[in-house]
Amino acid sequence: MKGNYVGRSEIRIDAQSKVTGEARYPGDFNMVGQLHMKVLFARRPHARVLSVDTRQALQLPGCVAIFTAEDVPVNEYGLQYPDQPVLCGPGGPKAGTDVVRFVGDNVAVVVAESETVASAARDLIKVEYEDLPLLTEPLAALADGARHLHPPYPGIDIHPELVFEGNIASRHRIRRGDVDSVWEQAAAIVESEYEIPGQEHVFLQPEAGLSYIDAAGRVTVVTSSQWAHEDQQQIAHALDLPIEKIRVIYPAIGGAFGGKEDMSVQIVLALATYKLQRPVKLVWTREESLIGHHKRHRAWAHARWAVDAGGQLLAAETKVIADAGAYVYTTNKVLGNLVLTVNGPYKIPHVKTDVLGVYTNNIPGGAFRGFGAPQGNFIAESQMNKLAEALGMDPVEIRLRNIVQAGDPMPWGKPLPDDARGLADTLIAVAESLGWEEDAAGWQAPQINPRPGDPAYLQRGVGLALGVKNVGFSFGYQENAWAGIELQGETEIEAASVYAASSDVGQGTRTVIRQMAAEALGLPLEKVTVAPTDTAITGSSGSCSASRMTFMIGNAIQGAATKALQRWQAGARPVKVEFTYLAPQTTQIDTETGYGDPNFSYGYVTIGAELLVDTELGRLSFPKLVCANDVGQAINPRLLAGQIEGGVIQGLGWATTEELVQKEGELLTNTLSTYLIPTTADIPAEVEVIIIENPEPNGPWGARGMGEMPFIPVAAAIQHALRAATGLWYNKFPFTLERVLRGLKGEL
Amino acid sequence: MRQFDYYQPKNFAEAFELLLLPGKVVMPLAGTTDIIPMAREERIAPDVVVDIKSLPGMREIKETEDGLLIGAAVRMSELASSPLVREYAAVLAEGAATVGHVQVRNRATLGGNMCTASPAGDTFPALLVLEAEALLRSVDGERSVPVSEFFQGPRRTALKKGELLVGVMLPKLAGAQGHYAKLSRRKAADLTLVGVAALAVPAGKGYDWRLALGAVAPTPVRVPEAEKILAQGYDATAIEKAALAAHAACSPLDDIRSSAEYRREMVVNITQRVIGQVIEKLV
Ligand SMILES: Cc1cc2nc3c(=O)[nH]c(=O)nc-3n(C[C@H](O)[C@H](O)[C@H](O)COP(=O)(O)OP(=O)(O)OC[C@H]3O[C@@H](n4cnc5c(N)ncnc54)[C@H](O)[C@@H]3O)c2cc1C
Repeated sequence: MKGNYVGRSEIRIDAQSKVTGEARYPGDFNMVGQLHMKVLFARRPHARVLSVDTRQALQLPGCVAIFTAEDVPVNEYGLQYPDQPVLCGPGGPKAGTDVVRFVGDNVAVVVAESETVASAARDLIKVEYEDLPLLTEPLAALADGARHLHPPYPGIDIHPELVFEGNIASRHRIRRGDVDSVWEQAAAIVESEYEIPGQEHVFLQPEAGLSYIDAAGRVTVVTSSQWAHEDQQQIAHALDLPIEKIRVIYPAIGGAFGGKEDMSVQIVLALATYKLQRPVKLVWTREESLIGHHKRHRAWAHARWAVDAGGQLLAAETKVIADAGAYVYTTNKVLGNLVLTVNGPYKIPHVKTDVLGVYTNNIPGGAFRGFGAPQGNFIAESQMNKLAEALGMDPVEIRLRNIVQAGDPMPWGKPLPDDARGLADTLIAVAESLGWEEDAAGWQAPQINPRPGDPAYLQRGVGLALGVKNVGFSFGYQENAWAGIELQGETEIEAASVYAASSDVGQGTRTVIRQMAAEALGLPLEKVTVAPTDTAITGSSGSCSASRMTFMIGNAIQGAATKALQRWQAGARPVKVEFTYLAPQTTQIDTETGYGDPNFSYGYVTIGAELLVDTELGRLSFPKLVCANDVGQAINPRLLAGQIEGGVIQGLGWATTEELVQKEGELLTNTLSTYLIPTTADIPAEVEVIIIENPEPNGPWGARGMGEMPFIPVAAAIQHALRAATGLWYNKFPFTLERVLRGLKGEL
Repeated sequence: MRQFDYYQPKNFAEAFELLLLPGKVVMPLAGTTDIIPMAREERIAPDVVVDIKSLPGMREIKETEDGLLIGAAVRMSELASSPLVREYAAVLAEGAATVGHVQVRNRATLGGNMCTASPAGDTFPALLVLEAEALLRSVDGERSVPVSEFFQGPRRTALKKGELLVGVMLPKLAGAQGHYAKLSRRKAADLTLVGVAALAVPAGKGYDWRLALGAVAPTPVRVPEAEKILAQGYDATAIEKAALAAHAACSPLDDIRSSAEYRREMVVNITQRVIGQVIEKLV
């Protein structure tokens, strides 16, 4: 649909300020009298901190203060579970806070009159460590007798999957039917081992912030993250202050992709300002950012799937071990989604899935666009493409025979909440775009022939994969989002202010909020302004992640607008309303069987890849990538296409050039000249965006979440195209030059 | 990064005086694309930097009796697009065009690339096959050094204290055809895994061949064995043999970017392709 504003590509609120450089990011804020902070990172992956001697450092002229573990009132934090010390060191009441468990653990923070002095003082701190044995491979961490990296934790009711058994942080299972009863009936069984890489977010703006005491006496942190009220909560917890004493403000944010889901600079900044009652600024360098924040989880999988002769799936047995790294971060949520996606959106009568998140001394695994779905998807879609091949069946055809239709149960026992038409719609759209044709026998893949002028070393292939992912966190969590609206005027509404704590990480949420508010209020866009994200003036809109924000905040705005207009019509002047939208209820999934009703909405997507392999160099290139995404309703089609293109290219990076190397707990790809994200030159000649709009029943104007979807099936589609071009299944990626070449030489 | 003082002398006398400031670590500075990243990583810590871009002649590209003179501060983007360079030494223009990305090429200079002396520098293989002369100048006067002797090892050059590279002289090579190709993991802004330059210079009825490799040895290297093979003729077998000679001449390292083995294998493939490209230009 096209409304007055919904469905229209309005210009971003921040377009001009970003293009002219006026937009201020956290590192751009300064205050008179501010101090500068530097963090002493552990830079060793596993050690007990015996002592931290700050005497010499404190004598450096200009060094104002140094804070260590002893100075943190409640020395723990964590989005899902507080298993990480704010500062690692001796002297705290809680067991285990004296141990550093990965290179990015913070040991001390230095506050000085200048950044130079802060750095110099940091280098004068003397830390005595006792190195502890390293566990960097999850299998080693699972072995009998392996040292436990954390003390025993009691766990928490709302996250029963956080089991804390030895080094097992989280456990996830599905048990449906009996896989062992059907192997013998199978026409084909595909069994594979997969190794799925980690990934670094490389948001353009590294972590930064400025803290100060505001006029109301609140410890205030201006920073960039994904959920202001959660930052506020975690700061309050660590400082042991009432939540009203903390304020968090988000200015322009230079990207996040899940990488700013967890804390970085927030607590230490607040701590320093609280203790010193002065403004303090901290900007991480890129190098600090690379070791300091979590990564996409690495995962190892064994999958054994069976089909009957008609192409109907019979059974899927899948085991996945994921590297949670040193702390939980969002591991339980990420792997929860992995469990829901690793069997695809398919009808499978017998399912057995086991997923473990394992503590190691690597950089923590955590949130990253797709939140476990990319890993799950790679396994599921690779299995499907292989099964199709094993049966001699077209890969589109096998999917159409297996995807769930309205009412079919998913492996967790409940159907998808809508009719899931987007699965077939996106699949067919991509297939047609790549040259698939349907005849009486069903869908047929295009014949891929060499083109005139192709050198002998060039091979061509096409491939595709589809994907599904939940919108929102859910698993029983009551998803909620707050919005406020103020209407000014006398006879007519002259101005409307919208309040929402939605984090504009670059995706344009504030622009979309404005469009939705103008639509809901029936006002011209120019009359609507969107207030900044600031805990002092807004309620919580929840995290800007899990593809949830447009869905959630759109519903909240609709609720607030309805209420505001009623008040206006009843004569109130000015009008000021608040509304908290509660998404449909969900349940946890059973820890033994995986049964439950974990989510209220899903997104559907298919990716197609046309690929060239230079078989002498191992180099891949992509004449075309195509993404069809069922977004329900595009609120702003141009912003949405930007999200699709960005997601596809980020997926391309994960699949091809981004090789994250950690060895013995050290990050070896610790610069952007060794960790290679795609440049503009690496973008395929054509990235085709196909927007499909099957309205989401509960979505605002029918919109459903989409931010993560275009990323999810990219790697699997490329693997499929690579198979077509080379005859090889590469079950480990990224598909670097060298890995591709080794495969061609028979060393897969 | 440590602070340093910045000077922009307008003449050589001033520049040399600054370069010899007693008790100071003084470094010349051109496009800054190597020196600033290195200072940030604290691999170098100059007290003073001397911007050489405004010195006379540093930004010129000029035809002389001896050949083509290219000032040390000529930028990669200028090298890549200069009609004179393309005519005299297309292989150097091609090398320059592969450096970094547009923003880097708009700043990075030929002299900076040479003085940084990275084994992976993308202009060296071309300069080697062109048999360019490096022109150096100091308070003691001018001298010239063949490029093959200028590059002495990783980050080591023939430059003496207080000496500047003022340019390179490319000899006239009528009818010569060359090509440079680089293999890297990503299409832009990525260090070279293997760089190969080849040049065919008319000699008698046939051609003298010159072949040089970058990024696969402590310094960029010529491959005389391959050159001899190609001088006898350049059919498919000869090309293959020449590529194998290149393989034998290289000694790459394992690093985070790739294994030595992969680099060595790719020397063969890239060399064959580069020779093939030159042959296409010959006919
Ligand atoms: C993102 C990025 C990508 C890059 N990609 C590539 C690439 O693909 N290929 C490649 O070869 N290089 C690459 N580089 C390296 C760099 O850009 C080149 O080496 C460039 O040519 C250096 O020139 P400059 O003018 O910037 O040198 P500067 O940084 O100004 O100087 C470099 C060194 O040379 C010395 N110096 C400079 N001029 C003179 C002179 N006239 N006399 C004496 N000493 C002098 C300086 O003291 C310094 O030690 C890249 C760099 C970056 C930042």
